[in-house]
Amino acid sequence: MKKSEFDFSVPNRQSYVAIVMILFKTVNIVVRQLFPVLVVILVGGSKQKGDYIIWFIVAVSTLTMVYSIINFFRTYFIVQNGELILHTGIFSRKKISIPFARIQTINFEQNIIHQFFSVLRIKVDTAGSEKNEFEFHALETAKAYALRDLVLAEKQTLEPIHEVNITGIHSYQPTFTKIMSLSPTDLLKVGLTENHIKSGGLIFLFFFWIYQNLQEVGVDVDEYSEEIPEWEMGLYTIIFFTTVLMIFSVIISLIRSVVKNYDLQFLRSARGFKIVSGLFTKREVSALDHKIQHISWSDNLLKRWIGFKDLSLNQASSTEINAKQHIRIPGCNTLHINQVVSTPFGQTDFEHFEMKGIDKRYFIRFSLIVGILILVVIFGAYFIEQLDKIVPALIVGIYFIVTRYISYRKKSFGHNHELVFIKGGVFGDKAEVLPMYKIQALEIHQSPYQRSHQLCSISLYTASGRIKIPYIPISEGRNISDTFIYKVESDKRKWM
Amino acid sequence: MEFQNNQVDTFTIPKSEDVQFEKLDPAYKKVSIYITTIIFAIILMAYLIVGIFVDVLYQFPWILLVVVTWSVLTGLFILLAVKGYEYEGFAVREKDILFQSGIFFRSTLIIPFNRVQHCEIEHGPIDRMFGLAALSLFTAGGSASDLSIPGLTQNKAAALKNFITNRVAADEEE
Repeated sequence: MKKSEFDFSVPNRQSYVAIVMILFKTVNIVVRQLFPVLVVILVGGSKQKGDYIIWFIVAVSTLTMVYSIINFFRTYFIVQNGELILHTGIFSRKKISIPFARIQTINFEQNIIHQFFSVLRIKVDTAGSEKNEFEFHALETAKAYALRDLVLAEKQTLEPIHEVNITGIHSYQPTFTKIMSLSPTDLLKVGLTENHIKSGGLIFLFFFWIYQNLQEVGVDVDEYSEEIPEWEMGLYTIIFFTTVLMIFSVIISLIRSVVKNYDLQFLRSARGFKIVSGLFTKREVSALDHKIQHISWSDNLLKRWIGFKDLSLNQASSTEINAKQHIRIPGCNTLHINQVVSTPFGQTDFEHFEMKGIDKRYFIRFSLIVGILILVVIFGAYFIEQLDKIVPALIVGIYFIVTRYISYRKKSFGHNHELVFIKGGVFGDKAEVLPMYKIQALEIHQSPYQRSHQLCSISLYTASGRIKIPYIPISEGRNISDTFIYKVESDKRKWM
Repeated sequence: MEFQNNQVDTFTIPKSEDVQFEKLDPAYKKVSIYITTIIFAIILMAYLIVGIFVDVLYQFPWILLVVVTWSVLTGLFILLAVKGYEYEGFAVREKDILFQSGIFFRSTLIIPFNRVQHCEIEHGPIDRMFGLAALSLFTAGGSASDLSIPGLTQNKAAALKNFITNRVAADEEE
């Protein structure tokens, strides 16, 4: 191993840029948290009160900043006896030591300020609880890479048993091969095919939130809106507003997607995957093979049209099911997915996987309940003479029933000697692959209705979330449960 | 060790259907009744205490309505607690533990010992009155897949914990 030019056996502090980052972060948090208050102060309200609030905010943020800066000078790390040791704290000193073997991944992040000073935000993930994880606001890029190489190299020598070691133990140098990257055109395509309904919802929520906050502090929004001449809520107005909302939704999801996925690089190392992306904030996330529990991919109508899928690597999360642990890579095609899945889980032909459908009562049962609910609403509306509510209720009911039918037709499951494969989706397609030995626990459920029709649902609990197989015959359910459990108990491979 | 992956004859796979489930200790029925009663007593007490300050709560139609609803609900939940006992049971196999529960919505949870993270014995004050304990097993599959078997005698809970801990340790050595 090349001797690194950094000495980690003596206390190392963060780069001084960290102070800038701390200041930046404080301002950022204050602005974000107090955005509604600031809007209100700017829009109007009592001048006197506004002054007090601003002084209070300034005082609190100054205090937190001073605290963080003192903490900066009292925080340092040492590498000793195969452990990463962190000292921190002002009044009560804390010492966190993380053995290299416990370190799962070291992730880097770089926003514009980081890029300017050529430093990195570094985050060490462990298999243990949240308390043992730590984060540095800024560390010199070269130093950060040296630290990671050191940790990974030592880690390699500590547990070289169940990994096929390609690079050799003593000359550990992470080498990456590219799986895919997003070209500017692809990036644009990914952005344009995002779920725009979600963005539309976000815009709607945002305005609703501002409206509510303004009302809470006594700004009469309705009064202002009276100045706008009464509009005929005719068809044209509705069409106009819907079009505007749709255009804004598309623009917002496009911007969000471009900022997040700019210059996305999906790379393969000897033991895992690495994803680098981001316009303002450059993110670098690693997913080690053994930490990946299940892989899923999905598309929507637009994506299917251009042949793009979102790939998701679902890793074990030690604490709770956490969005961070699901790494999403947009813009993959079938070839990429096959390549990625085959690396940790083995070569599999998903086109010719033997699949079984689920029972039609999955659809019938649901439609009956929705049908009864709709009937109740219609009768209710009839009796209180609000006939205009009937049509929307019918539309909503039909929507639910139709989507349930599509979902019933698409849902299927199957397994070979190694993997469980589950397909589904409503407007798009969804697929999940899970190696049987990664199952942590299994549950067979039966509702009274399912019992009377000899059906059951199966829940597969994994370290990266729950996967459900609904409405299958009980005999089939028992069969696959026994098989899966047998596989878990007889497989000696480590699940993480 | 060379990696092996032989074909398995599906008829030889052990069937969870054939397992005989063991009932919880009969005293657990009493524990459930006690706990349900205590919870409902606390709810009633809270109502009565609030009633000291809010006159309306003690006035005629309300107090009657509340007492009737309270009695019906208490009776119902005690009935469910007693009935639920009939459907709860566990089974220990060589390599896993099964637990079934639910009067209406039945479920059977299977946890292989080689996926148990840790286990612990809990006994609350009412459990202790009857010499009972609960054994909790934790997996990495999230809180929904954690198992708590209530209504075990303290000896049995300790023995089970011992057995499972040994199994988990044996698995890790291999």
